[in-house]
Amino acid sequence: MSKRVLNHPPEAATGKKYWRSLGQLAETPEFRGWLEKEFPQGASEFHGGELSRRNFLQLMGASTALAGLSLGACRRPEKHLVPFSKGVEWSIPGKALFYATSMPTRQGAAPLVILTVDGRPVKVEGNPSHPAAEGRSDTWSQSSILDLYDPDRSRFFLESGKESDGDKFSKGLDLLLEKAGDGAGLAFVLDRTLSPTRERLREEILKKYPKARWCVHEPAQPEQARLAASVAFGEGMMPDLQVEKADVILALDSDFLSATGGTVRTIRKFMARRRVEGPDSKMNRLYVVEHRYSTTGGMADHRLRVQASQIAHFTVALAEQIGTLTGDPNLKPLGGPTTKFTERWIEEAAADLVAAKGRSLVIVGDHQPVAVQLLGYAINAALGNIGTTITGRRTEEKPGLTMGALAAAIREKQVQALFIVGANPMYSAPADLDWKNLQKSVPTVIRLGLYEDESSEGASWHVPLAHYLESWGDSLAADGSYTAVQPMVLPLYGGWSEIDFLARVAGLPKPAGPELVQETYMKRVGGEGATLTGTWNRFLLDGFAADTASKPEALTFNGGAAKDAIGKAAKPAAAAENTFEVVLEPCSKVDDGRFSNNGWLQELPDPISKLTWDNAAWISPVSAAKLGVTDGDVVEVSVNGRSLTIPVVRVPGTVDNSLTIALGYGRTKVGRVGIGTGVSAYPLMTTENPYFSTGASVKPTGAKYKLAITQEHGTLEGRGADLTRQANITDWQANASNGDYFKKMGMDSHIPENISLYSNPPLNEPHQWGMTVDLNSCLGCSACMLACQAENNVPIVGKEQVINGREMHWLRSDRYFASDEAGVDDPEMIIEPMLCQHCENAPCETVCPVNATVHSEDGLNVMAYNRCIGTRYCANNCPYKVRRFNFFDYHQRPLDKLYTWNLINEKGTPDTLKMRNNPNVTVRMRGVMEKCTFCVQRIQEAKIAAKVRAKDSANMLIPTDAFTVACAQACPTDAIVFGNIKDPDSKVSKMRASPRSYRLLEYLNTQPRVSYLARIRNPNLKMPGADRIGSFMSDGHDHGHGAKPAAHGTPTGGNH
Amino acid sequence: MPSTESLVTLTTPTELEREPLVRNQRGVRWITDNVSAISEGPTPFWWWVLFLPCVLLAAFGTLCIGYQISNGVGVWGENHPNGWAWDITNFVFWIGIGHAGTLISAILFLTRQKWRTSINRAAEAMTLFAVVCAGIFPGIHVGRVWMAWFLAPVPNSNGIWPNFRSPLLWDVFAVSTYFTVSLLFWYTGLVPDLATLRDRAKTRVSRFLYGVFALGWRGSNRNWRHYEMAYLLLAGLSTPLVLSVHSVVSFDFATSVIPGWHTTIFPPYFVAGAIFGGFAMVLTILIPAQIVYPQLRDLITKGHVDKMAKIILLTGTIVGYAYLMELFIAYYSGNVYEKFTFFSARMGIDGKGYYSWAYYVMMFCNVISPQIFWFKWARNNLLIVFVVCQFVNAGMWFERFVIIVTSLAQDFLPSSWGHYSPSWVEIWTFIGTFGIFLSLFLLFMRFLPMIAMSEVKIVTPEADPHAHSPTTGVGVDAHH
Amino acid sequence: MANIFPRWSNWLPLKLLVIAAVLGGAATAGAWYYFTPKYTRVGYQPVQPVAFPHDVHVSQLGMDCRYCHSHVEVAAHSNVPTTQTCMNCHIQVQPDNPKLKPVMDSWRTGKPIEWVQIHKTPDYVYFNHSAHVNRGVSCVSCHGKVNEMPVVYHDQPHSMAWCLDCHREPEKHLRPIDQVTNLNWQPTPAEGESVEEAQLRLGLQLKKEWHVNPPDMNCAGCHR
Repeated sequence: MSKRVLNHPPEAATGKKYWRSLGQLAETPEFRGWLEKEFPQGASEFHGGELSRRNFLQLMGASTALAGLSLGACRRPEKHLVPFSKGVEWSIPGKALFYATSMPTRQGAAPLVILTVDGRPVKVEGNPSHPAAEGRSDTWSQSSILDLYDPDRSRFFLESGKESDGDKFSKGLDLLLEKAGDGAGLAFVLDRTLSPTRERLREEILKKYPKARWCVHEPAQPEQARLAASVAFGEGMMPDLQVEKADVILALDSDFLSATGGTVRTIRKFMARRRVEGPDSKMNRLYVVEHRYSTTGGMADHRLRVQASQIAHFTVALAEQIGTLTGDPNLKPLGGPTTKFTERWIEEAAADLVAAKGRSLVIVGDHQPVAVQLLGYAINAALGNIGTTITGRRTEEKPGLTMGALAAAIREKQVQALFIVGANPMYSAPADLDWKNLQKSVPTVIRLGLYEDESSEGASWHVPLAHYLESWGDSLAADGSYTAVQPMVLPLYGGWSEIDFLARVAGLPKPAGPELVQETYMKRVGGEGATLTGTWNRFLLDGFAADTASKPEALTFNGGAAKDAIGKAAKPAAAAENTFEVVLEPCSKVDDGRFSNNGWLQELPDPISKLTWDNAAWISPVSAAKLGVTDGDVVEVSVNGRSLTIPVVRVPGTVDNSLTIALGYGRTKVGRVGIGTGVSAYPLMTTENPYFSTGASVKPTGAKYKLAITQEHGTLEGRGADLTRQANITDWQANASNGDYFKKMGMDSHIPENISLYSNPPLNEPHQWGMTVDLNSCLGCSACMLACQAENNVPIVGKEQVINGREMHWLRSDRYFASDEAGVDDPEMIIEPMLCQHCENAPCETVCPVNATVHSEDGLNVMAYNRCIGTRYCANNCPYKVRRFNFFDYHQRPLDKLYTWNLINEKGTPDTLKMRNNPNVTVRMRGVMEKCTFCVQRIQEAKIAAKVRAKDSANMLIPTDAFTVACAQACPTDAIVFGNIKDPDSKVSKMRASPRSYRLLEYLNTQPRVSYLARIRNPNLKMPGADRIGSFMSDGHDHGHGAKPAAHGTPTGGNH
Repeated sequence: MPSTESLVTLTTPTELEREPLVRNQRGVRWITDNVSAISEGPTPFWWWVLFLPCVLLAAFGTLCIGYQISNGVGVWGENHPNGWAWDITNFVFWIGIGHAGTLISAILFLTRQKWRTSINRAAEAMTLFAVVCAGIFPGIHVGRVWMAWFLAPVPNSNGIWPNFRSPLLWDVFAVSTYFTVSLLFWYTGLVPDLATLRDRAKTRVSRFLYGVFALGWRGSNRNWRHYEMAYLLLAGLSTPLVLSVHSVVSFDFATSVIPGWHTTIFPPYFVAGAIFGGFAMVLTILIPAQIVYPQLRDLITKGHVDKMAKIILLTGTIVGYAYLMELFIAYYSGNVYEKFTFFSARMGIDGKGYYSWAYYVMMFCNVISPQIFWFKWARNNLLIVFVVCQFVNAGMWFERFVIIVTSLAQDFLPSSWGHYSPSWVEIWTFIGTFGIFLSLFLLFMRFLPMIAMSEVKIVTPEADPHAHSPTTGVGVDAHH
Repeated sequence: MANIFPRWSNWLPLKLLVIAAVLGGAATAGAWYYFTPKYTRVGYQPVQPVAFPHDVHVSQLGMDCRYCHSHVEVAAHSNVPTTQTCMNCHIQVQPDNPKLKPVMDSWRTGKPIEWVQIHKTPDYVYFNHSAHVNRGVSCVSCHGKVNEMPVVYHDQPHSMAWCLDCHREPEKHLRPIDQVTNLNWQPTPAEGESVEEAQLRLGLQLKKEWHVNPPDMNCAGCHR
């Protein structure tokens, strides 16, 4: 895509025109015509004036064969500059505008700011002024921009599969609703969103059709949490974890530090207590008990592997222990655990929790049974945490029918018309409901969906759903504050928004987005006699209504009720040696399957398994060895009479006899990207035990399946002391006086003085850019990777090329396991983001024969794509292997056409995808090298802004931390910090000054501009094996390395 | 004159019997007839049998190159971290082979090694064709071939010059210079023989063509004086090149920071290796040639083979020494990364090497197999020599593969380690270059004098002032 | 044996040599010239949908560049005016001049006028107008004396080397900020000083005072 957004191709038939003139964009016949074609003629690139950089260069190439003259013709295509006929408010051609909005998710709104250029939304950022986001974002909001432009999205109204239009649908709907009467025959299935407007419309609908059924289907959002809370604290009250107040935290199978299990808000609260300035800093302590490594487990100071199905027993054991220590009546007697656990582990952990009475916190995973969660609350009560680290919050969410109840109603033929709004039950309903046949049995099914997917099949009507970036709406953020959803563009494919649809069903007079939201807004925020002028615009400007966050409420723990419930609860089976448990959990990438067609997410490596494009059953290396299977071997999993064949992937740190399978794969009807990825785990999901079931048998089928894993090698090969430095806070305190404690480890403990053969130009600019990466706060959530991909037009290469080792991510997150020999099955894990280190003495620069990569006076290792001829020498000579080569023309060619001869094969990338590209970053063609540029486009924008400000003065300094790079801006934990290292006040300078800061492979004298901050662990020294925790990495004793972890890796030691 | 007679008899000591460079007392006329006969006679059937398949291979290889240029380097097996693999391996392999020729022509000429005369023509031709093949790979391995002109230091309106710090640029200059000088050298040597062919030519066409290329050689004293001078100068010019080219090629690796590349021993070790491989290739070609053209056996004698085998033994041992020295330095450095590359990645002592097998193939072919040449019977047995040469050819290819791929596949950050395996396109491109090489050589055998007649004549008994029997030459001629 | 070659052929080698030299030279020159953007656009003067005479509007009516190219000081892209901008005047001035028909049509139908682009940098070049005009680089330095062009044409090469000339020696082009859009401005020479010398003196002074340091070695200055 050309960065020149004003280019105008003579033939108006291409879709390029309409994002320039937003008016009526979806209605224009040209656009419709283009939609039919879907793929623009590759040739039009030549005659169509839009001479992009790539075919510009291809022309150069072709012309070397032809006579130079013929070049002239191609070189000077007739291009047009097309101004608006009338000026448009705010719009300055080529200048970016930011609009606040938010992404509705099942956990509430993710507050966002969208960067739009000439009417095209191109980048998503967290909303800096919103208390729940503080400018941070996550993988799902970062990637949502790609869904907006997804060419596979639903584009047409379909009447039982045949193309139709909105008016016909409205008529059909009216006919249907006339006959609806009291709505006894109507049923609604929806996603979970915390949208007040939607709740209002729900009431409207129920007012009109009192008997209508309303069901929220959220396969990855357990009901248990709400039920447990209502028992423990009363109806409509939800606990709100004050993680930042807790000194000691015990997570029982709770992945609360991840997008799936937590929110940016929780993560930031936790990290607030994880920062360490110096050896004397206070940091919280995290105990994690889980069945496989999660990003939360990666953060743990002490981690215990326990099967998800055994967490109940563990909790009981813990409760008893704490009961003895506190004498709390609610905790004894509980009949005792049926399974034995490492007593000492429990004793010490319990002691630690009790010692921190009122400052501790026990978190039980949402998908654990109600009884277990109640027990968790009981423990917290006993620890005096209720009211301190756990406060209450009123929830407005009124529970609807369960899917089970709705299914029953359908079975009894009570449902005549089924409205499926967003949700995709055909794919994700629990298997025992046999939903497929149920839905078919309903006379009228009306589907509002982003895609024509499983649930649209056989529906009487399919209505295209508008993306949230195309629709009006509202939602509640994680802190309960009232947050706006406003459109950035008119629906590209003419979809209806959810509230428009519901309003239409409710038969409201004015079913159009803004008015619906305004009405809610006036009710909630405006108060009596308020007018829209002023406050409403403010609301849209900020993206949320100030101080509408829910107030913390006092909690009263209903111990009695809890105890009864616990008592009544069935005791889960004890762990059996020869059978497996099967755990189903939402995927960290495609969630419950809703993001299945998003190429960025599909290609994003899982933080732990590094698996892309598929799901696989996680299994511990030991169990795998027992079964005689290895990565990619397909096994048959049978449990409670249901079975499934799926490849396994061995993930260290997984508990034995446990399979963990991510939901959201194996879609049968989805776009080009999502189809054929992985295996659906829903066939194993049942209403009574949705998330884990025991007694599974696992048989190897002998079949093999190719898995695309981005990291071949997971261990450190004794290089931890160089690459991933860390220490226990106690060890550090012991060496507090030694400022070089972290600087002189491994090779660096004994390198001679570095001398460079090469002289480099002076770095004399007032701005010198640098970055720090804090290993102590990096979770591995990978939001940075997607932010980078979105900001820098990093291409998707597809599963086959990932298998070939050609993924393009400029920023990758390396995941290492390390342990001593004893702990090989239960190693420690560390995640290390790796990107171009912008070496001041860069090995890549000296070897490039054409000067395509050189150093800038502000300390960047810059890459001139249009100079690069692609020798790949620079990548070979990069010690960090962060350079990425365009082996194919990923931006021009469909991924399934990479190997078909290009000369006879036309380009076929949908224009919408080109529209997604960031116009400030060159789109690279095949054959050129690329890599992290420190978001040089942002740097340049900032510099130019400074110059414009300077005018005829000499002050061109960019204000301290006035801007940052995409990864740092997205990072929910502030692990990545970027800025001007010459400016003593900048955040990055302060971080670099930290005693924890070190640089990778110092001995090579590459002088990186990226420094890493060593990881600090805070173990409880009384715990078993505590003395060794954190020492493996810095010692580099990992799988296969037998040496004992002594005082190695310290300045006195080194590891050799 | 009796006086001189007696003088000779007085002054000549009894000298050791040494293997004559030309067997059977062959004379000048005989050489002219028999060598020219090869290019004058009708095209033998076996020639077509060899030539056509070679051309086909060459054509298919070219097709592969076309496909790769049209779709991108992705059709090869390269990836991150293996940015180079077969492409540069093949480049260094062919360049190495291209060494023997100039070495034989130039250095042996300057050191007055007369035995070079009967093999230098073929060796030089081989050099040229090998360099042609070598030149292909750096050309096509780049991602945007049509932009390769950026490498040339021509003034342009971008106002940018190439990066003169980059070894790749040095390569461009080194290889092109080497090719030019070798070509001139070869052609200069050809001129007198072309003239011979011209004078013997029967058909008008051949007379014309040989005539054009003979540049009007008359064999006059003046011609010869200039010829000798030019030849001497070129020899002087190309001698440093023999050392420089492969040293420069070795800098591609030696100047980098990657363990296994970053090694000061590379230049001598590469040059020795190149001569090693080059001689193996000379023998690979001359031994069959000797079989199809029996008359050559009088010119390319056991003595020649024996000498070349000795050189292979010597250079092979030097290479072996270099291999061991690398290991020692790695151990002595105490550097975990160096140690890993040599002991784990290459030797695979802890089973962690991805490509250890290649290391041992290399070791056997290059270091072990030539040791048999300590024995004269082995050096004198053409079959054994030929087999060993094949080992050496393979071994030298594997040496480059080991250096390039094992170093890249497992370098500093374990997270970025990655396997590499070639795609069919790569494999057929490589095979294609053999097609090109052999086609060219067959054409050369067919149409140009394979033996430097004019030079060999100098070392015939006839040309020897101390010939024991002044009549032998005549006698030999009498045979016809 | 008869001569194979006639006498004249003795000179053949020399002749061939000369021809080869000529061809080689031509090839080099051709590559140098054609394979680089320098030859492409200078003098390019397409026919515009509306015959807009810059000379009349600027030189006769004394309009400032920024009246129409209103965003040049704030944006990378220097905008061409909207139909609205034209109509601000032409709603009264010569409303029924046939030359203005396309403008009127556009005004009536709302369909934009499609001006033919003359100055075009390749897509991998990120030129920013605001960075230049706010730091004393005049329009005339890159676009020539547009104020004297009845029909605009491409005046300068706009090749990379041409950019670098100025980025390395900005003093040749710097002028007081308030004179940036005055295309006729010239430095006032001191006693016995040529205009060029005056420009150089002033330029160096401004460069020093404003710390003008355009990216010259830094590719990222223009290529992102």
